[in-house]
Amino acid sequence: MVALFVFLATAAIVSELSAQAKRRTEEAVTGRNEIGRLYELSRAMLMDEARDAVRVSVTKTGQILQLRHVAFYDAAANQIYGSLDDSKISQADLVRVAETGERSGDGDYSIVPVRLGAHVVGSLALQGARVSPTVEDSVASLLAINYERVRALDRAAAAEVARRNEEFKSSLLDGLAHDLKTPLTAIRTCVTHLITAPPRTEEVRQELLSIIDQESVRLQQSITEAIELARVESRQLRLNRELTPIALVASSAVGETRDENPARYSFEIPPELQIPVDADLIRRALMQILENARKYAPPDSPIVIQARAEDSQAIVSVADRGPGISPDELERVFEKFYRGRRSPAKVEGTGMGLAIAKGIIEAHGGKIHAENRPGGGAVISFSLPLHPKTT
Amino acid sequence: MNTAIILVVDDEPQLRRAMRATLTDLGYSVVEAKTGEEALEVLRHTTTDLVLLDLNMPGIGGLETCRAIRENFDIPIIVLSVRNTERDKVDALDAGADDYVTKPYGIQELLARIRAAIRRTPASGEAGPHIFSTPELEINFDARRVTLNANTVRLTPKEFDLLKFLVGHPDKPIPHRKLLQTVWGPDYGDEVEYLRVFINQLRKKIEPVPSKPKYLLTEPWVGYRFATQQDVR
Repeated sequence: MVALFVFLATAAIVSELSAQAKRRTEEAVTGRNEIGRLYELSRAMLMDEARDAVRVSVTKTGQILQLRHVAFYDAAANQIYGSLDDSKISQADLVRVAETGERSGDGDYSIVPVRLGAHVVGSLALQGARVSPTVEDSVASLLAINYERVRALDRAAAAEVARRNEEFKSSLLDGLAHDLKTPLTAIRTCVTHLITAPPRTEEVRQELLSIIDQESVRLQQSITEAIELARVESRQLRLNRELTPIALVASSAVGETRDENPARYSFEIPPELQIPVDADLIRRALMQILENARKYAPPDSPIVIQARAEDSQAIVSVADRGPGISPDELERVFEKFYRGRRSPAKVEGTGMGLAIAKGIIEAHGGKIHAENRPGGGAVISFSLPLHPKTT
Repeated sequence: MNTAIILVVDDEPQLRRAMRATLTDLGYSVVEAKTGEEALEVLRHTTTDLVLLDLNMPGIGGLETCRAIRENFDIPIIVLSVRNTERDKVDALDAGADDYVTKPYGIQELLARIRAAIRRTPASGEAGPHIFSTPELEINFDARRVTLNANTVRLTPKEFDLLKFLVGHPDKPIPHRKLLQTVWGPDYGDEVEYLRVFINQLRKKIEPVPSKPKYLLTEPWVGYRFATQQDVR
């Protein structure tokens, strides 16, 4: 739409100019003629899809019309694009033209209102122009159209972001519904069978009961994690900071994982390293990171937990020899319910673990990130301030 | 005693375990598949009577699997899913499912659906019409063969049963509920969207111009009618 507009406007301007050009052929022969320049300018503006297209348009105007100074005043944003340094034009001059809608200037410079329909959106200052007032107005019109085009793109981008957010939210709900309803389906299948048709053998009865038992544990874990995530996300975590040896936190986090092989974990942590944290929460965060490594890496493959002090921070990391993380997923693994594409067939759990860890680390003023490990595998590491600002 | 062989397609091991335990206890034989690809492989090599298909699966996914099964096998498909919007149901039926059950379900509900899907309807037996033919369309109910303009058309068992019942009661509007209870089973009656999808699919297969049906006519607010005398409307 907007592009079509620009073309139509350009066509109108060009035909208007060509009529003039016929009348003043002697002026038109000097160097590159005005039509050519305007055409070049309109193309330059139209081709630019960048976010800062308005700034770029202003710069191009200066280059193509060979101006000493060019500046565009955006009235809505109260912002100047381009530069007025060393020129005799002041910002107040631009504002005045934008407010009155009347052009001003002397032989050396002009300030023209930039109009979109009847509405003045700003003003354009041109200094050192060797072009006619008609061309100046045309440039202002082109700029106005481009200005509106950029705003339309911004609005479209905002709408797109809103749509993506909606999609994201509904896929979150889908994920949660799936994680809660799957164990519930197994439980109901077994329970309704037990109620309506007594199993034919004791073995079947035991099998049904054991499925019910396991699935209710799984349901409980999902619900606990969902509540934990909601708490972390509501940013209402009250930190109970105490100086805590991180080695202690790490070994108790390993104890909390569902791993039956503690021997696969090795610790490279200075015993004297103490961090002022909420030990309970950091243990939960570390446990989630360890569980993540356990689920994705081959059984019994080594998992290394390291910690060190660096400047005013402690850096803690968990390295595994799993499949690693695709480069485009390194950020996304911390999104809730996100499941890595390299996951083996079906990974247990809800996809909330790393989101919980991220929430806890950020509540402590730290940062968490994921990277791939030379030789294969993933490293999740987080920083914690050694001297947090007390609030 | 139930003797049917049921293929359970679900990526959740615990759900497959629960289905195997309950269904085998009730006398069914159960075969399992973890993915859609695996399901197609199993169907190629094992005789099965029914597919219970989860929608949310890695790999080619449930809907795509449903389409692939429908294209290659004449077997009833019941889709099982945690999603319960009308859109989801219609998508599954469009992909070739015969029925749609929302998780979590009680085993009795699922069993009723399984029985309904496996049992061929009265319309599929010996009774009813044997042949219907016009210059462009021929339906041979005994040979289960349909040709439109000399091209053979493949119908699914459910489509075939639905068509047979309608042709067996020509030129009479048949209410939705009656159609659902005859073709799907006595527990059905409110699933009007099932009919919409199946009639649409039938129209695509037997109508010379599916968008302007001359055989399978909608009776607004009532149901459907198979027209043998062409209406002049």
